Amino acid sequence: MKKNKSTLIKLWIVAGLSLAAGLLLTVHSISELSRVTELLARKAADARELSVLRLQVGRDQTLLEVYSHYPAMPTPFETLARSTLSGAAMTTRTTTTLPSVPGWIAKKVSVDFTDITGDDLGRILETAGAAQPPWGLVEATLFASPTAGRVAKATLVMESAERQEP
Amino acid sequence: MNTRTPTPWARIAFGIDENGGAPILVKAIRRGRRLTFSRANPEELSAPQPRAVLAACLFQRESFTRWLVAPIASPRKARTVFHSLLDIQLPFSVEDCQVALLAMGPTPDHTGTRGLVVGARRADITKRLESLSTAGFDPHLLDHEGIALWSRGLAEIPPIPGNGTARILIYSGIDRVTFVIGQGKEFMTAHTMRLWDPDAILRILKSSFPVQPEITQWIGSGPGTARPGETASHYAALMARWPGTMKVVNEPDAFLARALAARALTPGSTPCNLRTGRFLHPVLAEWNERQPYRWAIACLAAGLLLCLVNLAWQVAISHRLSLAQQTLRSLAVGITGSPRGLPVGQEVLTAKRAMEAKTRDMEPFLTASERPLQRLLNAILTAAREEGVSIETMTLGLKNGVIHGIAPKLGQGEKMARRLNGDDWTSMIERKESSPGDERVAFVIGMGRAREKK
Repeated sequence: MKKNKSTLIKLWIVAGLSLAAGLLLTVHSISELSRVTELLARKAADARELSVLRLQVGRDQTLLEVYSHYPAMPTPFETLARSTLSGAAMTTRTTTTLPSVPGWIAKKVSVDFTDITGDDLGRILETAGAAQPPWGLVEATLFASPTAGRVAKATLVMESAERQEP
Repeated sequence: MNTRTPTPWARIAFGIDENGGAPILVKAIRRGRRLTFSRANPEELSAPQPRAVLAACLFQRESFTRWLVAPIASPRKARTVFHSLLDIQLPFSVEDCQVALLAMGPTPDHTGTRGLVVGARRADITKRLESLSTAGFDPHLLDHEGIALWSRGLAEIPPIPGNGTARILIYSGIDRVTFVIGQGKEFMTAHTMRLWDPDAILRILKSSFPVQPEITQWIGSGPGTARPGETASHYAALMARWPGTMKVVNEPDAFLARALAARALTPGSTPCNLRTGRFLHPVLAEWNERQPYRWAIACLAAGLLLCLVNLAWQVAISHRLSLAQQTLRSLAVGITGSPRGLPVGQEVLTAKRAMEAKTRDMEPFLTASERPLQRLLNAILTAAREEGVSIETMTLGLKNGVIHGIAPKLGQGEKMARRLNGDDWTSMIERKESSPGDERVAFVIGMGRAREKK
């Protein structure tokens, strides 16, 4: 009988300890719940943001892949402009090169046109944009001419990319 | 108030009605909340059935029932005085009795507490157990005949709705006639006699109901009810003097045995076992002795289960967090190109910085391939031509631009500015002073990139 009683007391002690441990863990889990939920939500939001950036990286890589199939050097802009407009009054002011993504440099050229029609300007930009690699307009300054449909002076800053051969 | 049965572990119960030496045995099996009844042979009891109990009863003639009223509203305090109140009412000492308080509730005026007490002298219990033992039965439970008949009667034939309906259940046995009187669902009193005595029954009825109720429900049961001629004439004689509706329970001969078996398995408002104390059945005694162990084991199991569930939750959460972190890291590495310099929690910031540098470097490619300024220039020239606006000077960059123009009316300039508003660009027009003598309106349109196009 005495032995039974001591066994029962031991059993109750173990049961009490296990119940207390279970309750403590439950309280801990409940107190952690809001923090964990918030953390998971933040990580999910971060993942969404990073996915958008990753898409952009993918787009950039696709663009570089396209450019890698073009000739290494862009056709000079002056050549393209002259081939479009024979006898246009055109002066190249500056040509600069700037660093770009590894293996490439950016080429910028600033060209002045005097007394040119708006249509001709459009054709020049169209030809430059269709070249391989293309030229893009970075800056444009236009002054009107008294003659309708003409531009007294136009300054175009164009930009293209040049591949650096290893 | 539903109270647990004295044997909650039982799934099978045998109820025994000794029936003057020709015992009727009913077996009840509990499946969920349903009970199924069947007739049983005494041999079935000899086979070991660990979750089966045998229930017998003390007859009305060897026991008593009393409604006690204590002028105390507190049930806890009232319980302490019931013992003394009972002692006053009994013709023998309550100390010699085995007593059970079956129900308790407030008096109608809520100033006191009333309780239903059943009991029997220990000598009668001993005799009853010896008699059962001689017949080869060792019941686990010793219920009370009148209470068992009343509660089973309510289960099988519901009371007629209405306040003050009298309900009289008669058990016509081989060696006795027991009748139980109640009102609605409430047990009032029970009596027994050796032979049918309608006069005695009516006398007791009149003492229970000084004014005869409007509705009386007579219920017949017991093996005697199966003898149609004799019992029918008794009922007819009673109902001629105390009219009411009459119903006989199904299988009336097994009604008491069925009642005892059902009460052993189902919790109810009046569970009763007078085989307690020194009469306690060894099986119940052992079960009671083990009860603290069961509780301790249940607590241990609950504690372990809680620990396990919580640990599993912690593991699941940490796995989920680690997966989310891995996803973030792999996305960030895909953007920065290297796993180095990527502190935990700084993935977005690091990736954004890397993207800013990349975007700067990618500008020549993006400008040449997307041609945003060419498209804007075309749009300006088209809008100017269509709206009849003359452009004097125009300076456009990748992020902003200024157009100085002249139009016959300011509305034309405004219309042009509106046309230049779009997804990529926003524009604002401002009127300027015209040259002296010029009737046209001079204006400036300022433009800005609505969002950074990468």
